[in-house]
Amino acid sequence: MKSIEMFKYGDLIKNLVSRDFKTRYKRSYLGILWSLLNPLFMIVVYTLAFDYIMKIRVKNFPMFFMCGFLPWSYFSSAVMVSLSSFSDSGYLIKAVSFPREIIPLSIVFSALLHFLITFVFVFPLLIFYGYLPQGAYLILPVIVLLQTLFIFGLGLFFSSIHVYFRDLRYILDVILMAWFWLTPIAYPMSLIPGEYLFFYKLNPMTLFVTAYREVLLNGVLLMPKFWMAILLVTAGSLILGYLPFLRIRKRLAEEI
Amino acid sequence: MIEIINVSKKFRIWEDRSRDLKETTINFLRGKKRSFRDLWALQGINLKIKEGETVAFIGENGSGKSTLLKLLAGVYVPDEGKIATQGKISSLLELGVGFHPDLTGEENIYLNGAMLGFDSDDMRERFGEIVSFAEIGDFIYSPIRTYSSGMLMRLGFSVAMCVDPGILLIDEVLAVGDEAFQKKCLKRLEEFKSAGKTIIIVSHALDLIRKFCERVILLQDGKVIIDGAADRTIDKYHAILSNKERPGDLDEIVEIEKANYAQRVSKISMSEEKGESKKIKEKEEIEEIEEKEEREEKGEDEGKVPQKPKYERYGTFEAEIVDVVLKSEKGEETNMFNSGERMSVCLKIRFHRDVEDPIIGFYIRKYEGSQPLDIYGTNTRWKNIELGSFGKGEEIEVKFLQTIPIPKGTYYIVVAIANSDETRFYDWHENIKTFTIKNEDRLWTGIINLTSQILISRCS
Repeated sequence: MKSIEMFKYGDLIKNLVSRDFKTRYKRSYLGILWSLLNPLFMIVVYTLAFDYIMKIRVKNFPMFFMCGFLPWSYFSSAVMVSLSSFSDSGYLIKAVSFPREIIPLSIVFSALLHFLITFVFVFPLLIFYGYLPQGAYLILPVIVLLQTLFIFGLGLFFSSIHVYFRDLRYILDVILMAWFWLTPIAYPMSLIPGEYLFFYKLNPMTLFVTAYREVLLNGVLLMPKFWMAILLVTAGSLILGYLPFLRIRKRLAEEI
Repeated sequence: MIEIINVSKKFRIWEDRSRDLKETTINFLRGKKRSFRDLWALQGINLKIKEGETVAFIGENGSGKSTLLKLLAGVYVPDEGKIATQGKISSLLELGVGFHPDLTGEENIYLNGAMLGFDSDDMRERFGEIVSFAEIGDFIYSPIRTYSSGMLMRLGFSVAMCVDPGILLIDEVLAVGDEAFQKKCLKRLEEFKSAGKTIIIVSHALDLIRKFCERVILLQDGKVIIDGAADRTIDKYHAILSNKERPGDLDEIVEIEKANYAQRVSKISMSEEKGESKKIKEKEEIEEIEEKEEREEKGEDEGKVPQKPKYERYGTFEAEIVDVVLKSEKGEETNMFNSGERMSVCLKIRFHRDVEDPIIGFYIRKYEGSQPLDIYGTNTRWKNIELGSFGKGEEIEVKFLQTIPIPKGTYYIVVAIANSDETRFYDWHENIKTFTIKNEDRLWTGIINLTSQILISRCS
């Protein structure tokens, strides 16, 4: 019922996202260009380190890395910014009534917008490296949507807990760093010893990163089993997020 | 329409609460329990606010009035009971909600509008009106960090004033801005009012409330104390307020209060006469107000029903007049005198704080309808009596002796004690005693017997 109500607040979400978006670039000279250059720069650095120096045997490392890194950036930046979103929006929560999950949701949407913008160079680069557009690309919006829901769930989880534990940022920093290296972003799954492979597959981000790669690099539609797993982790994340959120929702205005 | 049904709201007050995962873990490992107590900010509130009513919630800080408004706005959720509302609620608990300094005035208008629940189409329609109302001209296209605080405030207010809510909730924001702009806003609110919008205000600006609201609800300690016509509730609030403006130690105050209450009640039963009981107990007073309002609602003219003068008490209670007795020449307690007789007004005063050179005085007063007329009054300062200093807990008796050359009728006594420059009343009892002058055979006329000597001599 609550989530149906949220559609009435589409305008509010739109305004919050555009506020976030506009204010982020208003005062920087490079503006939106920076959010394109930053991931490109990262791709160059990781290519140098992993492809040229450490010589990880992956075909077209820059593209391989890009397809994992961009979804990862979307995930990690959205969760990181959501974290203190309730705590930082005290003035809003205390002054007007609206479904409170809109606050982390609009942050996730804002990060999504940044993610989508990067596709401006993703597709040309793919073509440049010889990956021509495939029919499988049509499934991309579904993957993006599911990943967005997955991120929203975690964002809701962390932002709800952050209301009580303001030092969560340091812990989340460590978690995200570990998570990054435990997800096959800068290296392929094939390097992982067989006995640990099962644990790797438990990592939801492995699923998403693999999904993007399969579609963008191989033009492969994923197996139903894979989709089931993605749906499962997405649902799990939403449940994980709503559990603490529903507990504090009513008292949010007082606890902040 | 808004219906508040048996609503209660509690807040959790934590004792040295940790907001850290680290601290919480350490506390947990040490076996230290998190302790809190529940503070009931509102208890069992039942109110019905009809469409088109203009209502104000008043009360001291912590009385629960803002909490109630926030419950209506949906910012807080009640712990018990429920609130049913019909109509779009627009809450103005803060000005410029969501304003971002880097965005232009225009962008902020849309953002703020969305916060208040109005979509972009709504806001586009009203954009011109908002800009002209705010009087900020071309600045509207500049980031609001370049605005003066006055402009910012006007912009926030204009958005709120130009949107079209069914129910408008306003918290204390009316008192801002320069006078001209404030007048403009008030005019706007009047327009809302005549357009039949429901407006609910929380404010300390009682004069403004008196002018604007029809109904005023006084809250205290999370409960509705008085709910009635604006003038009545505000007058009563003033009376209660002067009782509460006491510095210092709360427990002591509460104790004094309790004692007063008991004493007052016993006094009332003692001074009952001719079957006309003086309803002085607060509760009864409230009932009286309510009855009166019912009468007013039925269209009965207030002026035609003369009110019996009320006992009222104000003060800081640093010193207290604990007893007032009227005595005859023979020293007997009475309230019947003959014109020209000697009467003594005996006060017993107790000091609750160290007090220096207080002024003690009294009035004799009569009423013409509901109009008080002071016949005579005096005090220790006018009589050049320096009382010196008194310590906490000390008690004194003060006796005013005089002849009362006044005509037949009923009179009231007002007694008071104030600080040395009369800037603060420690205790003021209005109409605490009544007495009657009963002699019929009056050989003079007027309101006071000046005991004239008449000299006659023949001119030669």
